[in-house]
Amino acid sequence: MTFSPEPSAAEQAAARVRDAVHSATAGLVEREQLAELIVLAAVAQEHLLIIGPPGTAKSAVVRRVAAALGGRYFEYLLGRFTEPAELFGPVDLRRLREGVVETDVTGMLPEAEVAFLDEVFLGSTAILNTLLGVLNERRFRRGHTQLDCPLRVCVGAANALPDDESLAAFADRFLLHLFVEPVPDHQLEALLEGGWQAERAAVEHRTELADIDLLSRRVPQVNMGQARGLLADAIRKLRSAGLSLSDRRIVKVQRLIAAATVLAGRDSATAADLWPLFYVMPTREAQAAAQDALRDSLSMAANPTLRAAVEHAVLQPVSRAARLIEAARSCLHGAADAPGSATIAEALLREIDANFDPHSIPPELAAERARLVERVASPT
Amino acid sequence: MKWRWRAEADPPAPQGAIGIGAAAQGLLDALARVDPRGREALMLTANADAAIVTGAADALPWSDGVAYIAPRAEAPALWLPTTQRPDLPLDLLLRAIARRHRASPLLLWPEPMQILPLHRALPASDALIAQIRAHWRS
Repeated sequence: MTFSPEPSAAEQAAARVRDAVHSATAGLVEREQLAELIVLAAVAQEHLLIIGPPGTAKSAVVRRVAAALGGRYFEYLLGRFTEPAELFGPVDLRRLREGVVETDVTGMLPEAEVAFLDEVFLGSTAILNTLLGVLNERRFRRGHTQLDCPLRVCVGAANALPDDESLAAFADRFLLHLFVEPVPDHQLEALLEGGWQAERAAVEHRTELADIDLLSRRVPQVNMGQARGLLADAIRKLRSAGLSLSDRRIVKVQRLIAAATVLAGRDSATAADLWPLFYVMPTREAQAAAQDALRDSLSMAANPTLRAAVEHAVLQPVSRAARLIEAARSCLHGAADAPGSATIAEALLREIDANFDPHSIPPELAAERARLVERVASPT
Repeated sequence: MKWRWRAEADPPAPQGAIGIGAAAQGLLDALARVDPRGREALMLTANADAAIVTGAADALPWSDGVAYIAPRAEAPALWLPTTQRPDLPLDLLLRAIARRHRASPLLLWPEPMQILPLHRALPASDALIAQIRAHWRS
């Protein structure tokens, strides 16, 4: 008799985080990836920038993930005339009478554990400079006020990446970049139904920030020995395809890879954990080109906690292959002479061939395909 | 203009099937096995080396070696393999191709690279299938 080992505290925390992501995105169509990247960023102690048109449920997802994680949440829509006090808090008048310029940060960004800053690039220089300290060092400095910030993750949003060089440098501080699109035509029914339900359903509090912290503490302990060589190879492939990354992003992506490893319930990073490299590519074009250049490097990508984020990063969605493998096995399990068996097998073969060419088909699916071909060739 | 083929991140539903070389014969045989009512919604065209069938995804025949094709929303007159696409904006590519090739729609195929007109497709009748077979035999 064998006993499966008890899941470790980290595995249990990852499972609770997985539940939280699922609960936060219930009813929101095609936004699981965003919720998962918020969690990845929080565990890696990095930040996420979302670029996409207004009305794509960016703030709804961040708000729901924050509610599911249960941390202190701060959200603000920045404008050209936003004052620093609107984000960081007003000057403390009592202390001012004593001749000291201090900020009363009660309930403001310096006290937030999860923050969402919409139209983040519209902030003034004063705001962005102070934000840099909060994002990079988790330290708030303004006048005589110097505070450590409990910020786990900041999510910034904008309609487009800035052209201005100084703002581009600020955008670079967000290690993860996610480009969101409006829900596609074929998902409109699901969007309408899901949106109707999501408005009514309250987000359940499924995990604690303590779970994120527990996972976060494990990140520096991840064994990166194997992944480091694979990562270097992947970066060489990007460079030979004309795609460059700043040295800072190259070094920092290791944190994301280690965080993905922890969220997958492992303590050694492997080829399965390289996929965050896709989200570190700064522009939409670079991400599309990287998908092609990293096709082989990311072919093993997988993560049970962050499925949607992985699927989007790799070219051949694992779920599509997994679904077709399952359908092929189910078809082959039935009697070969059952009515309609050959038609079902042909329909499956058509779907497999329309999704994967001989160069891209995963070996496991290729084996099931071969069995289906046999079934069609000799149905009895 | 320099460009390459890249894998299609999200393959669309097929709207056609192509067989080239030996697979062309296989596609024609598979099409002939489809019952005449199912074939009513399918269109067929061929050249010396290839056969192309277009129609709804569910109605398309399957045969080993056949590949599937579909246009994309940004260039509805340019058909491509479902699993690959050029790495440049399709509407611009279509405009460049249209300068030399008046026929529309067109299929851009990677291996061997060729442009195949689809405007001559006819209903996939027994007579047309027989005519194409006779043409290949001769």
